[in-house]
Amino acid sequence: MVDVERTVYEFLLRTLGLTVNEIWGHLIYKPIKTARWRIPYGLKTLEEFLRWHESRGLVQRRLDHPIALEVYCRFTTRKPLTDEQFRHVVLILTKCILQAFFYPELLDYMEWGYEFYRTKEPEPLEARIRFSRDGIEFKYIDITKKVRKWLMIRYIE
Amino acid sequence: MVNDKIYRIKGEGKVSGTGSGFLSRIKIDIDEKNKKLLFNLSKRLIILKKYLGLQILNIDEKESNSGYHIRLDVISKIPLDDKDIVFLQLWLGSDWRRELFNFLRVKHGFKRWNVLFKKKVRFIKGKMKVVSEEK
Repeated sequence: MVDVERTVYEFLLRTLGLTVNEIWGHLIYKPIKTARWRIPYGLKTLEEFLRWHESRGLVQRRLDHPIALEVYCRFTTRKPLTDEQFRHVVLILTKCILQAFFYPELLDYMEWGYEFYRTKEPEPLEARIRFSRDGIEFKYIDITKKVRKWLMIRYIE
Repeated sequence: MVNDKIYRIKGEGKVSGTGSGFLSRIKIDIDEKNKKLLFNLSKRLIILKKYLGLQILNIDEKESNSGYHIRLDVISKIPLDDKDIVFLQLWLGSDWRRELFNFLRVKHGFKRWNVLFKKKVRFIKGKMKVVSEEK
């Protein structure tokens, strides 16, 4: 019975419902590179292991980069985004990052993701850049206005 | 407390089912294609059922390029807050890096924190390439 209800509900959402799209960009941080040579014998404690990696320069050095950086955009459409539309939104978000004076090289370390779910009520457009330089204090920049201006996709609010 | 047959998860649409309790969605990102991990996950779910009285409404399991994406809709007898969900996701074997960032987001009070991508891309030499996609 439950399955029938769920199937009917999902069918109705699919045909009548709306799609909330979320596009996220993250900075990927790989703290230790994979060692291509053998780790010497005799390393028994975690402290020794960490010190060895640091001495070989395997721990990623960071410049004036934020320790965490993410950007996201969320809006409602009738159907899920096509690949071209997704690409367009990603380009808008990269433009926003560059206009917020982050290093362009950070874009090489970023990964972009797309998620959507079906809903009945539209949700308002929201776009933000969140970042932290120390992992303790997080700041955000509201880029909703910019995204609203550049987004050439018909969205529902 | 929800008793209706159709539940609403905040910002996640609706799910139908029966039972009473508090509804939450758990999203697990497993980064290895190993059936043993899924076996371990099912063992842990059985333990969760026993100790927290979790009732599983819906399991949505999808294979990605590097592993599995699992979305669970659960009803618990006690309310689960965001930090509890982060702990449960980590305990059920989700990617530790993802859960660290989820924890930071929850700790700083961000509303949107739990995402599990259907598609992931990266810019390689200026071109956008699909790194991972749910099948």
